[in-house]
Order: sequence, then C-alpha cells, then structure tokens
Amino acid sequence: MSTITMPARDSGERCYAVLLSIHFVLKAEQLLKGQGLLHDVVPVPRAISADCGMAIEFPCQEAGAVTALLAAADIEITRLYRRTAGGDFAPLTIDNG
Amino acid sequence: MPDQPPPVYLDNAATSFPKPAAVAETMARLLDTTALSPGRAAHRYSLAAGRVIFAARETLAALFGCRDSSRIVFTNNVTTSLNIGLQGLLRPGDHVITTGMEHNSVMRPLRLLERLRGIRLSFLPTAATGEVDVDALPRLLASDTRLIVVNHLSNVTGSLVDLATLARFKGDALLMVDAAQSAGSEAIDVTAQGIDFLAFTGHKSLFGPTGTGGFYLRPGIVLPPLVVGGTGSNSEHEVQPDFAPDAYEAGTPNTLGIAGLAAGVAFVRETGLAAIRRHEETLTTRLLDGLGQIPGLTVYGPGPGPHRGPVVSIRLAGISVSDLAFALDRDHGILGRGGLHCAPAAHRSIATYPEGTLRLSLGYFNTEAEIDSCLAALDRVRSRC
Repeated sequence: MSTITMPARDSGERCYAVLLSIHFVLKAEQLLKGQGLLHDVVPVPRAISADCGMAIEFPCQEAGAVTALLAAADIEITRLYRRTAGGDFAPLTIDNG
Repeated sequence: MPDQPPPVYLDNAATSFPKPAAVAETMARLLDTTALSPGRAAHRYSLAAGRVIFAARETLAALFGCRDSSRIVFTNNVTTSLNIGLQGLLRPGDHVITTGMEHNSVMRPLRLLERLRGIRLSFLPTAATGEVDVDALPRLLASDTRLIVVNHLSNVTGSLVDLATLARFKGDALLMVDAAQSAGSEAIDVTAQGIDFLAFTGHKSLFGPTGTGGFYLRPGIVLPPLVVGGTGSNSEHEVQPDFAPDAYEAGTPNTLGIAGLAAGVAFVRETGLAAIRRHEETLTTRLLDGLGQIPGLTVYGPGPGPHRGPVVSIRLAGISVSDLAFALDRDHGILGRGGLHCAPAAHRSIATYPEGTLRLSLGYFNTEAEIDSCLAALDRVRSRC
C-alpha cells in the first residue's frame, strides 16, 4: 500500500510523478483514465529531473488515490513532487511499504 | 502471351504473405504523419510514437496471456530474442534439455555456449515424424538443469510440442519456447502454460513486416542485455537501466515495423485464433490427403489433425528437392522452399539430412483452390520424372 505525506485538501496545487520510462507513463495514463482520475502527460520538469521523458501531472488532492492505484499495479514512482504557489517543486515522500 | 495466374505462395513459414490490408495502411499513414522516435523527447510526435509502441505491447501481452505488458520486449526478430534469452540465462556448466527439432536460431547459440561456457545438452527423443516425446522429460532432468528450450511448432514437419506436459514436469528449470511458427497460429498463454521465456517473430503468423519480433520474460527473471545504449529513460546515468522493457531495447526501435506488427496482431485477435487454426487445419488436411494420392511422394511429418501445424515437408522420387522447388515455381507458379530450412538437426531427426525436403507452408490467406493447384502441379511434375 502506498501513502503520501501531504495535506489532503483541495489546494489547486499540481503534483508530478516521474516513472521509470515512457511505457510506465502510458500504463499509468491508461489506469488513471480507467478510474476517471484527472491527469495530464507532460514533459518532466527540468527542475525535477534531467531525464528527457514524460511525467504524470495531477491535482495534488488526488495524490493518495493516484499513488495507491499505481502501487497496486506495481508501477514504481521514482520521484514525486508538489509544485508550490511560488513555482518551486517540493519533494513528497512515498511510502511503498 | 496469355495471362499467367498469380503465384500460389506456400512459404508462409518463412514470411507470411499477403498481410492484412491494415498492416500497410497503418505503416503508410504513420510514416507520412509522424516522426516515430518514441521516448526520446517530450513533443507530440515522440509521445505519439510512444503510444504506438505501448499499444503494440498491450495487444501482444493480451494475445499471449501476459498480465504485465512491460514484460513484452521488442527485438528485430526471433533469433535476436533467443540469443538474448539463451546467452543471458545460461551460466558455465548449466544443463539444458532441448529437442531434435530445433532451428539453428536455437542450436547455434546452444552450440556456441557449449564451447564457450561448457553447458551440457540433453535431447528429448524425437520420432521420425518430428514428434517430440515430452514424457521423457523427467528422466532427463538433473539437479543442475537450468533450462528446457523447445521449438513449439516445427518449421520442417509442422509437429507440435506439448507444452503443458513440459511445464508440469519442469521442476525448477526454466521453460523457453521458440514460438517463431506458432505465435498467431496456436493458442499461447504464458501464464497458464508456465512459460518463462517466449520468443516470437513478427513476420510470420502475426502478419507483421520483417524486422520485428520480441520476447516475453516472466516477472522476476533478470537477464544481462546483449546490447546496451540509449533508451530514452534514466538518461542522466551511464549505466543501462535494469528494468524491462528498457533494459533490452537500446537504440531507437523499429517503430514503423512495430506499428505494422500491432496491426497484424489486431487482425489475428479480431479474426480469432480458433478461426485461423480451423482454416489452416482444413487446408493442411486437404493438402495431406491429396499428397497421399500421388505415387512416389513421401510426406515427412504427422498425419492430419489438431496435433500439427500447417507446415508440410515432402520429397518426390526421381527429382531433387531443389529441382522440384524450381520446377514448381518456374512452370506452375507454386512457391515452396527446398532444402534444410536452417534446421539441420530437425532433418537429421527425420532422416532427410543433407538433401532436405520441399516445404509447403500454408497460411490463413491460402485457399482450397490454391491447394488443389499445388497438388495438380506436383502430379504433373511427377508424370515427367
């Protein structure tokens, strides 16, 4: 089970999940669509990673549902960030235990 | 000059022809509309290419009963897949059980590893029809048996190997299946059939273009890759990713070919394996029945029925297989293949080495009229011998 240490409120903030590769991004997209969870497939923000791939962007209030869904499908989130009001990216802790 | 009838193509075991119309249509559309380099950038063309590859993985995973499509890896052909599997899995001194019906895509890597790593080979007994005695497996298994590797459907005789029995008796050994001929023609379920490594090619019964293929690797098995390089993932690291599929897919993939392969697989799934198999079995039975009526003709392989695939090997008394293949092509427009079919071990097993046989391999798009044309042509050639 996956838990996430962040406030569960509708802040309008966006979160970003970086996955292993484009395959897993598209698998995550398929699963999120299936569950009706809002999301976008976006370029990995350079502030998060030097990787040249794509990430999953989603409303932070859905972070618990998103991480749980991906964990249940054995999709590893390599990095998870919240974009602050100031535009910075704050890392979030994922507990996959 | 009178119109010549179109050739009758009976070399589907080499490459299927024709392809479903959607294969060429898909490839032409993509080539004209997008750049086809997946996972190498974040722009829309790259994402579109990523979706092409992802969809292909998903449809192949569904066809093979694989729950996690990340375990489907794309390669250029089944030979590459088998080399990744065999060279990656086998350690010095390992014991391997195989059959006398293997193609050189298995035998050559095994013989190489026999020399380089001292692996030991045992062979399941093979009948003169090419049928493998899988019940002999328990007495060949040893404590150090690492792998059982079998050709699911012989490219020489059409004989099928009973995978269920192998999976039932394999113990701790891994089961590798060369599905070059069977993928798209026989039901394969890697989960239900206990397959650890399934090697497939795209250009035969899956109806893809040449230059496509791949393998399924059971979760939990990690192999060293044969080729390393750019994958579009983990780009900040100089070390190859260790997760499937990226670990085994260095370099820009054949996105265009994989798109064509996916269209071919979609055709197989829409048509249904049962319908494909039924049609091919009907044609094979018609061919075998007709061949049995031709004096001086010998068929090498099992009789008609569900225990064989649509590959038939023959010889005709009084004419070499190469002359027979040439006469059928030149004089009658029947396209078969004479020789050893890159499987000298199989021809030794059925006592047709080194001359080989004339192989007539049928496909879903062949017709009963074409089978009758082939039979009539063979009878005419025979009458001149």
